[in-house]
Amino acid sequence: MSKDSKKRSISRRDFVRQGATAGLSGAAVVGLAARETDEGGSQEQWDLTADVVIAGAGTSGLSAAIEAGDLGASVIIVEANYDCGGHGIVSGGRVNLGGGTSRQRRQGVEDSADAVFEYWTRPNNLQSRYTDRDLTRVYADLSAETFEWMVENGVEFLDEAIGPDRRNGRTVQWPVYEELITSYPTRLGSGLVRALEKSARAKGTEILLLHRMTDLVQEADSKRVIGLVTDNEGRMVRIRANKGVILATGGHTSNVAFRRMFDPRLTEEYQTAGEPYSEQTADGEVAAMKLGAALWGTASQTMEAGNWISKTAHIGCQWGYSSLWWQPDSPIFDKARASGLSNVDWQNVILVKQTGRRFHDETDAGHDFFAACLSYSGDPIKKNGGGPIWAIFDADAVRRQEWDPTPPNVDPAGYFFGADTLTELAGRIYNPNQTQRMQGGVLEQTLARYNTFVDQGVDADFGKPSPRYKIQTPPFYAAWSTPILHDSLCGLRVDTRCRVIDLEEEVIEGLYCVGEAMGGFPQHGLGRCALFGRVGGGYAARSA
Amino acid sequence: MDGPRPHRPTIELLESFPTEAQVGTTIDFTVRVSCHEGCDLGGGVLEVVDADGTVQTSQLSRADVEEGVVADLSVKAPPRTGAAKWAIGFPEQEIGGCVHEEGSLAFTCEVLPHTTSMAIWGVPTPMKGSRFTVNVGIKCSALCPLGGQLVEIWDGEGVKLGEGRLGDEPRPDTVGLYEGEVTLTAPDRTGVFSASVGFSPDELDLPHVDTAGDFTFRCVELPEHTVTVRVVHEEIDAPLGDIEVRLGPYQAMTDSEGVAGVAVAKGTYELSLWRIDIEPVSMRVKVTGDTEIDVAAAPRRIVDEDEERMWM
Repeated sequence: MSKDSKKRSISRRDFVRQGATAGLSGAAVVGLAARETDEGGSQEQWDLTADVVIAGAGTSGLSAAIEAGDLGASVIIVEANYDCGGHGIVSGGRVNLGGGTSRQRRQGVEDSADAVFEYWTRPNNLQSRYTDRDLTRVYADLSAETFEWMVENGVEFLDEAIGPDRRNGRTVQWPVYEELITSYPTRLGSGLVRALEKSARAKGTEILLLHRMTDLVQEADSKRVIGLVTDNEGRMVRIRANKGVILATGGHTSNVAFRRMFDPRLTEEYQTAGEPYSEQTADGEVAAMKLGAALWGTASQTMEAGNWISKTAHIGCQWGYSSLWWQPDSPIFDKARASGLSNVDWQNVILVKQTGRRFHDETDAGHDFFAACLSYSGDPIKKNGGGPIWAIFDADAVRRQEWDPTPPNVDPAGYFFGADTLTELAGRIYNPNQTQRMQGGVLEQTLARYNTFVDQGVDADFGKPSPRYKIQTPPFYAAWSTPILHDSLCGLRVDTRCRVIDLEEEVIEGLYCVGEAMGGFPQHGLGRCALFGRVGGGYAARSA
Repeated sequence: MDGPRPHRPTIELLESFPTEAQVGTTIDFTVRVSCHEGCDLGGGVLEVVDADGTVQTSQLSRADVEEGVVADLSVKAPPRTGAAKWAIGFPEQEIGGCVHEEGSLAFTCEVLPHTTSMAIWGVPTPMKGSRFTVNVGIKCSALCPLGGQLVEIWDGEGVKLGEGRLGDEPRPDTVGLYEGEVTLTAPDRTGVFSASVGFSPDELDLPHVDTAGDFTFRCVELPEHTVTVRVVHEEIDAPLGDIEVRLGPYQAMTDSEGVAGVAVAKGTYELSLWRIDIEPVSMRVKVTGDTEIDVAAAPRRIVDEDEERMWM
């Protein structure tokens, strides 16, 4: 590959503005075309070859690349997006690693690998009940070491040991403004991802952007995975892996068909944290399952605990995950389109389904709330999924909340509406996921009843504690408030070396999986991604 | 001896004509006229005839379709409800040296009255037996001026409680919502009461559908005492203004000194404070006479869901 392909002749922001055909990808394609090889001696025609080929340049893929590179392997990462980072770069940068880290010691926290193992295998806690004990042991044993490894690779942490287990802490936001995806100071994960990217590149990793993995390649006789195929803006690129292919593609929450295997309710209307920057498309899981790979730890995906779904924090925009607050200075704000109305006091609004009817206590944010959101919407055609959820409020609420309900705070293209009467408001609501028109009479009845509850001081329908404000003063508003899907809590079955296991419980030689695409250790945050990335990268580099 | 046979034109709508429209509204549509012999009919004349026989003439001008020429037309729905009919006529005319026969196309539409919708706001928590006002806003679907129109309020048994007229100008920050005030007398007892607002437009140029709405209000005891609440910032002991102070159904706002005087009846209440940037405060208070209460309010903690769930 041409060395020029690594040079950044334009900034990332310029890249976004100029489109995908300019800049980095163009240079990378030229480099690939100039160097077709078949060093493995097979009949396959390979465009590129490396010892370890990794699909995905997020936290786990970059960690795998650094570990493999440190062991002397040549590494290529293919990344579907126009830039590195995956969910990690738009995350809060929370890294759960303990067992006696230097961070913990500075904070006076005593910890051990055994304590970590015990914590993550507690049967009386839903999130630890279903973990794979073998993988948990790996996590426990390498937890402290991985923290120090991240520091050695340039990741800076805030000096804290937080959370009930005091194993958590946040990274320091990346200081180069042009290399941020989200606005200062909303996402600290940039500090983790950019540091790992810098380290990986310095150690020789080639990162091919806009290369989406479409298939794995198996050797005909041995069935060993020997490479992968990518789609580079319509051009097929085949990359040979001498030692192993690592799937670090980042989970499945954006793949509606895949996520519905675990929960039929999760139809297309639910937004996904990380989008519109990073999609979790299940590419890794799907490619491996074509080769017979097994899924693992699926109970974790449906246990109704943890961060697999959350309430919208920024309403009136399509993407409203709490700590991922899109601002106009983001290089992808043209995709996000609006920031949303934030800091919602749920006493100021009611939530209705697409029919215009309330369905639950708006102040609740637990799994009973989500079950109500996802309950049957009354649509006789689309019976699964709960349909859109709209926050309805009035001019008084806007004043109390100190909101400015105009773009770019709100997205009038299907996610925010205003009108002078409730009937008019109901008639204006449209959205690709709104399968039936909201009837003005129904919405009027809903509000009249709710306002009576305010007079009475008691919500006789859903028990909202002391409903405080009538919703009555024009103009009226409807803001998109449909729940958000976040963590992938199950994925491919792997052994303690992160080798993918098939349905016969046999290793698929040459194939590894790390990060959110792997099952068995359903932790929220970035600790597991970095740790198992190291494990997969290390074993792949050491394999024959 | 017979001359050349006239050409026969075909007239068709390029998109479906609406089956329903409100009185007086303009309906835009496009027709295409083509000649079977392939003549360019550009410059030809079309006539649109409404139910009253009024003729509107248009010229075929846009030859940007593969077959025939098109004309962008509009008709106005009549000011009365019911079925309306229009006809498009292509009078016999010579175009490009050829005579083209006359042709026509008829289409109908059900004409409906304008709809109206209502908002009711400013409903207070009145003391029993007191006079109070309610704001009523009415909007026409076609933004007709509704100034001077009557709105009436009745109780659940059909007794008229009050009436008012809509103002001449739409309410600020709205598009065509006409606002009026209605003054009512609260019942001489406490409780939650319901009422209905009716709007039957009268003497408007075009027919409109009536509309109605319901609201409730809570009627409370006459206040006997004043509870003076002083709110300060928990950390810096500074007074906090614009705090909403509630004692059950009674409420007041703190002034710049952080003080609110809430007039209440004897009783035990939930005292609650609210402003968007403070943590909600709530406590039980028994009022037997004039009372002063000092409250320290903390800045609101912005909860990051990651923070709450970070450990797993």
